[in-house]
Amino acid sequence: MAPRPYQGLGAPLAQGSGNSAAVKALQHDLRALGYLRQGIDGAFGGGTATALRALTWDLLHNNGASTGNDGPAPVAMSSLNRGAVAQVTDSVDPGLANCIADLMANDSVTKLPSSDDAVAANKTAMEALRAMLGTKAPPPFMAAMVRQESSGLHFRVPTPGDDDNYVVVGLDRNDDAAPDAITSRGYGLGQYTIFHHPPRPDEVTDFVLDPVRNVGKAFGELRQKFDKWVAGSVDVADDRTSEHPLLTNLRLCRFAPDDKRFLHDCKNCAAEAHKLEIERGTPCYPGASFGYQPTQYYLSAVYQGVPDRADFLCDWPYAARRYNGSGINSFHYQTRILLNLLIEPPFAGS
Amino acid sequence: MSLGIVLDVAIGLAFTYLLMAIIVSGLVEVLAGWRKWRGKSLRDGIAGLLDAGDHPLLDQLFKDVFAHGLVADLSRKGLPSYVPSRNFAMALLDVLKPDGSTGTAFSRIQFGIQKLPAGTVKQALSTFVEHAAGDAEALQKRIETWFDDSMDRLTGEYKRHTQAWMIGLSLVAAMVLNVDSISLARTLWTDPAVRSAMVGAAQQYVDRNGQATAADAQQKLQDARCALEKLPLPIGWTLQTPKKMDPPPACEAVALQITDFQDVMQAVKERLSSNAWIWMIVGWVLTALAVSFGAPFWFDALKNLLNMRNAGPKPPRSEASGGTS
Repeated sequence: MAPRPYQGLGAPLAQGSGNSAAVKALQHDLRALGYLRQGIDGAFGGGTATALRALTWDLLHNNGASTGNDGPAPVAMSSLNRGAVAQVTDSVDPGLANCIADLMANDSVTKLPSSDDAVAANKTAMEALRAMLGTKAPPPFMAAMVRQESSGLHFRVPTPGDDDNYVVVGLDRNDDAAPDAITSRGYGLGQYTIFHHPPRPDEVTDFVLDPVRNVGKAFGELRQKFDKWVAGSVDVADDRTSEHPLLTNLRLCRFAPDDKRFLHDCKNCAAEAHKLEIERGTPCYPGASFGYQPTQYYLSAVYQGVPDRADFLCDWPYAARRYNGSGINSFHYQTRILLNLLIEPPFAGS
Repeated sequence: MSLGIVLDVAIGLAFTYLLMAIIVSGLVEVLAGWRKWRGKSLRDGIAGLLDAGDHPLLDQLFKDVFAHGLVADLSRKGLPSYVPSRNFAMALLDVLKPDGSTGTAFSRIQFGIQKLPAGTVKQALSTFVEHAAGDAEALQKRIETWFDDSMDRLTGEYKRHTQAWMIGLSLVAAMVLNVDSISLARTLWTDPAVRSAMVGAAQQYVDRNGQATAADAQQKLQDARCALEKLPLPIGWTLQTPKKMDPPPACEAVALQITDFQDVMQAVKERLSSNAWIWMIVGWVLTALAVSFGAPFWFDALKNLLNMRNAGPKPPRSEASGGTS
């Protein structure tokens, strides 16, 4: 394999480097390896630096174990360091450059897929989502979540100056003791999340590559949150307990399963619900000890015309919150989903 | 023995019982209005539904609901005698929302129910909330049904209560007016003139009231009293001589024949001395039991008996078939 443009350079590549061809190749490889969130534009900025820190952290510490319970990675990244990296760094010296090139050449290190026609692939994916019937969870909620998670994209669409056409990936850094470490990655349209890295080849073909299967997985995941994370058995949602202290049974839908609006009329439910104005400090639920505040992921805590989740005659708003994030972030997420419900085009059933 | 005579005797008795029943039920109505039976029964019924008395919080709940504008304003003064289930449900839901709580109406109602002491009320309301599943309107409907069901039970209890009074007052009326079934039957059986006069009066009464729209209760009571007194029967505390049949005295002129206390005493003595008093008491009791069946029962019975007598239902009077009137 030919040397990569970032190999054999006199000086290390670092933030602000002018060698855009080398930086572009580096970004390409970091993206394929699952460390860079987005952007193959040849400009070494904060994103590239953060990606390098995550990669070098993995080369030092990632033994292939899962931070969740979805099984191990096919290979331990730390076993591929081979003395190239001694500490977490955000500049690429020749040793690290060779190491990255080796990772790219190593077939046991799974690469993220890209698409040659991202626009068409994304369109197909959204159409498939909207046409899904008999799903385990309401498609309008899933569409609202997809819009929030991935802006409705499965693959990034290249723009002039940015070659990124890789699968959309969301990176979570949830380990306070190791702020550089990426603890989980959500992939594609439905941001189906796994907790080990790199992904196993079967996972790539299953849901990373195929947007329809990806969303199918996400439906299953959302249903799991609904079944177990709202009113037991894994956890109880505080917002629901506070707003519906007497409701014990989960409410799947206000409509009966033989009604064509069953799990499909969420937009109307959202439209009918009383609307809330949320600002900094608004309690996250009645009696909550904390209120909405800007966070690292959500820069504003001001929302207008939010459908009141307590007015829904189902428990999906609570389940949606459990799908992403925790604490205040999960309430931001829920709020965005509820707002997105209002702007989704109507669904087949509704 | 002629079936016709038996029928006529039965018609005579039924007609007497009907008039008595109208009078007695009128008295019960007057008593109910005076003693505010309906209002009290309704208040006690709602208190019972809300288990007031079981816990201070439930006491308060009942008081708040009963004093709520949607309930209290149904009566300008005193107790409302009827509360539409919608008013009750809305008042209850409104009272349940704790002051200063936030959230949707449905959430706030749940807070309120949560605060109630454990018991049947909390259990019932919690079940309604579970079934309503977040829909405040559905919750209100369920509470309305709950209230209606309990009001149906209450109506049954109220009926039994008035029924007891009906029997008691029937007995008093039978004694005061001295309507002794046995003596009546005997007179009817032996005196064809009385029989035919009774049948005629009964037929006339049924014809008139059969088409009349529900008259004012007071008027009905008054009419019944007049009609009863015009009957050519041995009723009232007179000496044992039947009233003269004609000319029928103007109703207003008749004061129940109890004009002279000494007459009454004399009449009582007459009966006591002749051992007839045992039969008289039995006669009263029979009258009382019969009268307590109520006016609607006797009106229907009378109509049926008259139909039997006329061998088939009397064709309705046609407006078109011109008469001599």
